[in-house]
Amino acid sequence: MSPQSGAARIAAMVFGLLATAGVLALALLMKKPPEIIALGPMTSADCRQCHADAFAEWEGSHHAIAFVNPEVRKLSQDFRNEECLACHAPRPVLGFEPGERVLARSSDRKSGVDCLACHQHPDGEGIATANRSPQKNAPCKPYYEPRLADVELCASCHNQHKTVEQWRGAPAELKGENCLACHMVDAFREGGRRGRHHGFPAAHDKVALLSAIQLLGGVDESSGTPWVSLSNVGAGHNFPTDERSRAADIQVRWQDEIGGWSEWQHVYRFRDPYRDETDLTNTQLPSGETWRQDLPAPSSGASGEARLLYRSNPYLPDDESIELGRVTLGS
Amino acid sequence: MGLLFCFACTDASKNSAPIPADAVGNQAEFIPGEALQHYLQLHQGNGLPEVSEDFIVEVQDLLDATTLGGNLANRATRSLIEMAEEHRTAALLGLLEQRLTPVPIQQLAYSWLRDAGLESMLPRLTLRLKYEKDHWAVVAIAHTLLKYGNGSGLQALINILDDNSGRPEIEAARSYAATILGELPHSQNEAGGENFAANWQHLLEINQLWQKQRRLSSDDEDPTQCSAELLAEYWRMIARFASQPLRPVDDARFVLSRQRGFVIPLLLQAARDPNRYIREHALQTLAWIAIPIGHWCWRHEVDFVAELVPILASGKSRTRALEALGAAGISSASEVLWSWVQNGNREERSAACDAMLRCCLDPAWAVRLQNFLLATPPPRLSSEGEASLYALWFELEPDLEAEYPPRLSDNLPQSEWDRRLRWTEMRNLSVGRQD
Ligand code: HEC
Ligand code: HEC
Ligand code: HEC
Ligand code: HEC
Ligand code: HEC
Repeated sequence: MSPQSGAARIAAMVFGLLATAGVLALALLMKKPPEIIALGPMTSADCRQCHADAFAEWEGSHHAIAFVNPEVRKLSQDFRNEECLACHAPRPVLGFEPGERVLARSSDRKSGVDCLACHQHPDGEGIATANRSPQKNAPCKPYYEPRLADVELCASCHNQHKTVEQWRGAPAELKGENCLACHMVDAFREGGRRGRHHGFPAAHDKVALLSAIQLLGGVDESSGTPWVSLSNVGAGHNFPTDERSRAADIQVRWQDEIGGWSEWQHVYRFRDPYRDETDLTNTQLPSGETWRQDLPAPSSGASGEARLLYRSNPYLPDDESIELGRVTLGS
Repeated sequence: MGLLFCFACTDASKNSAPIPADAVGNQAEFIPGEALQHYLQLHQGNGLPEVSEDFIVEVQDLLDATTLGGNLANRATRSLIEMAEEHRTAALLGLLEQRLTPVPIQQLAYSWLRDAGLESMLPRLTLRLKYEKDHWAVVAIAHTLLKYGNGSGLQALINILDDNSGRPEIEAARSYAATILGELPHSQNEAGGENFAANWQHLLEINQLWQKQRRLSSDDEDPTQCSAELLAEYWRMIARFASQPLRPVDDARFVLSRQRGFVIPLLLQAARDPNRYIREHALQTLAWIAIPIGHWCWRHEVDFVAELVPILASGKSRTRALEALGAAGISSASEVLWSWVQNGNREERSAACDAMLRCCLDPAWAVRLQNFLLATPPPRLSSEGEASLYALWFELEPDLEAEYPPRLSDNLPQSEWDRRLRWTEMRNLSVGRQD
């Protein structure tokens, strides 16, 4: 056997050249086989040519980066942990029973949760749509599939931490709004057809985050005690949901007589703890509910401020977190 | 080596001969067979009993009392000794599986399991390796597993012995670990200072043998069957594959991929279960065991390829079956795999190409690969599949790469390429390369 395996040599070649000769060498070496007219089933990359809008929206979404997301790569040791492939590079969901968890695929992993992951017919031929009368003779063979617009589609990947369960019985469900109502708003397509936006805005989008909550505060008129409250007015599930690392913290600070501010003090954390944090309980804020707490001032009549910080992981320092709101307590 | 190849070739081609991909494409979704439910029922009376929370607390109190000294300690020890073995073992495991058990009690429980546990504890004890944070406890687990011919704690032993940080909790674990060295199979030396270097070397070798063959010495009897008690516990682990929450599945895969060879036939049975998740994860576990399967099947004259061919009939778990087929590193699987490289759908082709890279050792394949890869129009493979076949081609014909530069797609993430490098390295351990 040669000292260096064939594959290692290719790697050395490709990546070595890459470093030295730069992009030109890369382009030469990685010359792709000539494009073939789609004879058989398509890949997600093929959708772009005819559905440029939906494709561009999806490209900006976290579904598109599910496999390349640096956060995920770090935690999965670059997907050496194959357990993580299941939802981050899934086989088409419609090939599974409604709501049952998906399993990993072997090809085109880089495209993450891609078009086929949500749209492909279980037998490979045909594209599911929630449109009852699709244009059946279109090249991608669209067919009506009610499950596409059902929560069960999302549940296959999004219920490990109970987001779908939290939605059941929440005000949104009672109003007949499922995940799509908030995460796939209307988008207008060429020719005036109504489409759905494929960007899935949520915890990485400040506007979406702001729409989830209402932060209030003041001083109780009869007792004179300052208070703060947070309501989950806009998330159809707990706030924050799903990803266990998320944390939202209420903090408070007070002003002394000469106008100087104290340090921010921690008041309350909304979060679903990791499994091994056995000393913590789940303090997520359910949809439609309000949390409220009195904040006795250090000296009577002192004025203060409360704020809400959102952290994409619980150890993120204050200055890297997102401030979602601030209220004045007292005069 | 020639003989080895022949054994594998003839056997497989005899039993698994014509399996063109298109022929199995439309068969039934699952293979009716003896599977999980059947075995769970069969072994209902075996394995460890379920014990109540109260009983676990009682055992915890007894363990606690053994540390008090005097009569109280003697009485507690006697109670523990006189307890029915299966109940004691089950309660000790139950105690260790609770998250809030204090470390000193845990250490006592591990010691009791080591000295007086039943063999049927092995699966659940192996699982403690995944969760246990206390180093001393990890050594105790590794020690206990070794007593039953299981080396899945060896790597942890190595890591702990290799940790020179001097932290007090590591030091206690290290001195315990050092005492185990002299007990390893075929160790020539007592554990002790002057023998350490030789023992350490021996430990590394045994670990390598375990990684490659799932046994601790080359004269290990390596039974094909385990006791009925242990069997029942293995089927209970396999039952976890059906879970929708992921953790039980992760746990079962962790455990079953770290056992001696006798779990291989069980996983092959599970791979025929009507439940797709059982099939999928049984096959995936086989793929995680990988190379040792080839060695084990060779030693026991099991035709792994022939076993897997009928499982390929199920479309829903086919890519996993192809993966398992390749991961075992049995070169004679190549012919079966090739039919899927040519005729499968995109996913099946990718899985079959990957599998070829992991098992095909016969240089005669280089020509077929070349014809296939350089055909016009080129084959429509995923970037994963293409990378695997190129890597294989250059493995089989090392001088050719200059002439035919690989067309590695920029759609292939670095990590997927690295995965293929790891597979390439593993080829040297496979059964056809045995010295
Ligand atoms: C060669 C062009 C072409 C390609 C490639 C293509 N489509 Fe289509 N698709 C169409 C046309 C034309 C229609 C019908 C008109 C419309 O509804 O926009 C359509 C309809 C659809 C619909 C139904 C829309 C509705 O409201 O009924 C969906 C969903 C869809 N395509 C998804 C996909 C996906 C996913 C892919 C990639 C796997 C894809 N398409 C590839 C041309 C294409
Ligand atoms: C059952 C499906 C599933 C599996 C398996 C899975 N994930 Fe995820 N993962 C998700 C979903 C759904 C989200 C999005 C939820 C969210 O952002 O709150 C997500 C989000 C993440 C994020 C946050 C990404 C970001 O930028 O905010 C990380 C990190 C992550 N996963 C890592 C992993 C790792 C590591 C594994 C393997 C141990 C894994 N996942 C396995 C479904 C899964
Ligand atoms: C095949 C699995 C899968 C399906 C089906 C799926 N998702 Fe996701 N989703 C993911 C993963 C994985 C992530 C996280 C990706 C990452 O950040 O790396 C994610 C992320 C998200 C996010 C978070 C984005 C952010 O910025 O934090 C939202 C919102 C979301 N999905 C909504 C949905 C909705 C609504 C549906 C149903 C229409 C759905 N998803 C279907 C796997 C899936
Ligand atoms: C009424 C509107 C609404 C509905 C209905 C809704 N969401 Fe959300 N969702 C939000 C808002 C607002 C956020 C941002 C705040 C947060 O992270 O909790 C969000 C956040 C998320 C996140 C990101 C979590 C993270 O930390 O990355 C995921 C994933 C998600 N939703 C999935 C779903 C799924 C699945 C459903 C259907 C069961 C659903 N959502 C229904 C409004 C909604
Ligand atoms: C996370 C799941 C998911 C992913 C990923 C996804 N889609 Fe969709 N898509 C949907 C759902 C759900 C609908 C139906 C919404 C409705 O009509 O109520 C839809 C609708 C559509 C439609 C018709 C409505 C419109 O917006 O024009 C097209 C076209 C489409 N998708 C194309 C694509 C393409 C192309 C991709 C890949 C770039 C893609 N989708 C990825 C879930 C997904």
